[in-house]
Amino acid sequence: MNVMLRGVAKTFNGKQAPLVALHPITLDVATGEFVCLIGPSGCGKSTLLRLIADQMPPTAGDIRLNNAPPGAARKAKHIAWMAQNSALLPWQTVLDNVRLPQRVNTAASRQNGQHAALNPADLLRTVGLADFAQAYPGTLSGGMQQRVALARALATGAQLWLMDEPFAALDELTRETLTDEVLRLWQTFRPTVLWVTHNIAEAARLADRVVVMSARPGRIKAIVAIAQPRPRDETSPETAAVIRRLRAVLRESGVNGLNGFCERSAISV
Amino acid sequence: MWFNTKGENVRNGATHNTKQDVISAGVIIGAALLAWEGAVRVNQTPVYILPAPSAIAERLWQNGSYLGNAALVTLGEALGGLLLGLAVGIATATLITFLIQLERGVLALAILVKATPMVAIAPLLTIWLGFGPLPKVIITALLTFFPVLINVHSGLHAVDEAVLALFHSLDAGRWEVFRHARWPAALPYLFAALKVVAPLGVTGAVVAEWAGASAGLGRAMWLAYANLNLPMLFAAVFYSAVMSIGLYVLVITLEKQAIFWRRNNALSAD
Repeated sequence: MNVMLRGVAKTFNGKQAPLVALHPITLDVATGEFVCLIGPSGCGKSTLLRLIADQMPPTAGDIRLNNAPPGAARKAKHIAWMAQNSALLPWQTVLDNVRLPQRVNTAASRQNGQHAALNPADLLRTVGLADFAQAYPGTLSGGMQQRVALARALATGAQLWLMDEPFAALDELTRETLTDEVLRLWQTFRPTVLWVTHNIAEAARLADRVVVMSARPGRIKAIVAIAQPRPRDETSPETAAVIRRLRAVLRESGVNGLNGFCERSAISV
Repeated sequence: MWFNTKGENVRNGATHNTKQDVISAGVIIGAALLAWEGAVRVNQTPVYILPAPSAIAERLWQNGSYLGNAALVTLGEALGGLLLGLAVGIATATLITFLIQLERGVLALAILVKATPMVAIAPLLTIWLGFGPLPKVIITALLTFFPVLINVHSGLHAVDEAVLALFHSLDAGRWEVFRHARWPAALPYLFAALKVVAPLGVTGAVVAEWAGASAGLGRAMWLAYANLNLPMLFAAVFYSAVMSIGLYVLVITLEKQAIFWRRNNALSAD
């Protein structure tokens, strides 16, 4: 599924004055492309993702998913949504949580017949949780819960994955394991991925292109294409150069609070 | 209260704590009863002012079937009222969750019902509906209705934003969101209300019976009071308290079954 953004802007009604969250954004994402949106807190990257997910309407501009409005794509269950909060239902087993996308809004599923190949039990095996099918989410670690959420996203059979800092709450080690997992799944299923993060190294490992955004109001600062084949080694000269480049662009925007994550990524390089 | 499972997070394990709780509660209650008995005997308090626990126990033993039958009537009224209030409360909370435009009006009406003193309504209902169980069931249902409505309504809206975003991304119907997310999320709130309301249900039925009844514990109390038969009055109070505690324990037992995922969490924490 391709994504086409034309002058997409968002202004919130603030208490005193309107809050401009996004300056007009124009961007094209090709089918099967992995794009990371990176930027400091408050740069509107999550807002942009929520606009594409049809969680709210843009103030101006046009969003097209496979040349249709996002509402149509959502209603046809063509969008898989995943965020930092795993949003698992604690009263349903792991397997039932993974099955959820196939159990609700079955009319849409029947229409596009997308679930034929995606068996929830197989998906659990894919994310390494076959033994936990009958467990309840509350008994799992944070990393395992995000694996379940990942399997559930796969179960939608959607060709567009919208992921809002899905692993931001996890520790560094778990996070790296899971991003490798996502890469593997992406190479298997070949969806279009829009991945919001504020971790430079993560963006450099994952993306075909990194869209760097500047803070309030959000706008595209630069787009960095990464040609290196995956899996990428952060210590390789090419990837290290990408990380340096990204950090330089981010620093240019000269935003307060940026230093925090610059330092953090400096450790991982 | 002592049978509350406050020991859930304690490392020693739940059984040990429950046992300890029972023993400590038994010791405290026993000591209080002994002090009461001793005070009445030493001061030679007349039985029409305050009977000794032994006199009450004697009355419990002698009039067991009389009080037992009265208690069954009251229990039936309390259960009927609780179930009715529960059903109406849950139905109303569900209705205003689906039809949000009704929310304000219905809640205002509910507060009006809540603000009306039941002691004033009870004699009216007796005049209108007679001395049978129906007015008692209605009073108990009115007492039950409001806490259930407010808590279930809060619970139905206590669903995580992230979960709602997920269901939205799947374009799930409102009924699907209700079934998979809202209703289970409301269960802990429902049981919180029930823990308050269940013991209150017995009290409600007893109070309604004071306003005029042909049977029940409240009538037994009223008769005993009119005859200054205080041991009988206390014996009836004892029955009413036992039923309240029984209903509370029943609610806690049901809660553990209904909200099983919390128990799972507690297990994994060990």
